Amino acid sequence: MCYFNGQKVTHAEFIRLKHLEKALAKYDFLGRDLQIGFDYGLNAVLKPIPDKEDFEIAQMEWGFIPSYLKTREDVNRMRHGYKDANGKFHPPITTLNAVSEELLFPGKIYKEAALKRRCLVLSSGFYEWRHVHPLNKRTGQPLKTANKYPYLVKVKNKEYFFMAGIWQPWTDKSTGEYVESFAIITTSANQLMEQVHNSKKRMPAILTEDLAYEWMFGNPDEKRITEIAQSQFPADQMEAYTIGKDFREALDPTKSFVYEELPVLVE
Amino acid sequence: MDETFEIVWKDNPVIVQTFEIYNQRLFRVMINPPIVILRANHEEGYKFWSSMPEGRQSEAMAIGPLIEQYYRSKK
Repeated sequence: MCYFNGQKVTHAEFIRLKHLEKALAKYDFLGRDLQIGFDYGLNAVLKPIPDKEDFEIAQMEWGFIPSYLKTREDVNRMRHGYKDANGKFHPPITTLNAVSEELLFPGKIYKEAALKRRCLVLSSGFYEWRHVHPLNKRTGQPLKTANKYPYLVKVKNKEYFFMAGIWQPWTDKSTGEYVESFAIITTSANQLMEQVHNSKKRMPAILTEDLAYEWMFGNPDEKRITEIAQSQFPADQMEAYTIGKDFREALDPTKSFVYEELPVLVE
Repeated sequence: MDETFEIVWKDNPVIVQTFEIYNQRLFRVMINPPIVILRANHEEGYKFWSSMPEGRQSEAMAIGPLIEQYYRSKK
């Protein structure tokens, strides 16, 4: 007799469950927490099924891969920067986020996706850094270098919420590897996020359920796409608290951590 | 056919997405962290809820009946 999860099962059932477990392991994103951090990892993305009011949950790579890139090496060079044959360094280009105000500008790499391939990115919270410039003890003036404090930002009373995204199919021309990648749309910060992400004053375009539906299944024209992408989720429905600076390595990155010196956020 | 629905878990609405692997229906429940659960066959002939992979059996046993309740309410 065998046991699976402490329950007595037959040999045949044990093999079947283990077989399933192995198959499931291929779906990396299924066991992952939904919090969105700054990485190029795989995330759960809701992607509409063509001609249906239905969607599938796809596993996509965060970091929009432009169609003009030919190989994975090109992608890595874009993301991490590289030195050319003359030793000149080309800085990285980040495609994790797409600026809502410029989404449909002519020539933007995101334009076609915004028109044809909109998706929703599931999140249970996201991390952002607040910059606080300490005062010079002698002059009383703010110092140039800011202290940075990480926050976990969530939607109140929601286990998860939707961020507007756009996605892109891409095939590596040298290996045939097929990848779907996405970018999260950003909009101007609301009153809460202006204080938390105070260096850039931006936030993800978090959509209400109605807007999420329209983003996925509606047929919005260009003006409406921009309107939805720029929508600003109400600050009073969000919450933010500080977490440890080592949260990336922490067993529980969501655990609250209080910094005595940090001024509280204004409600 | 995969479907998505909500259940109430610890007073909060939680999304559940179904999918199939090798003709087995699995349920991805978006608690934090998410859990995948399924109905497995006990040696004594009855079905039980199990997490997949192993390790979160108590949560599987608590959430599974809520999914059953959802399907019962649909009838």
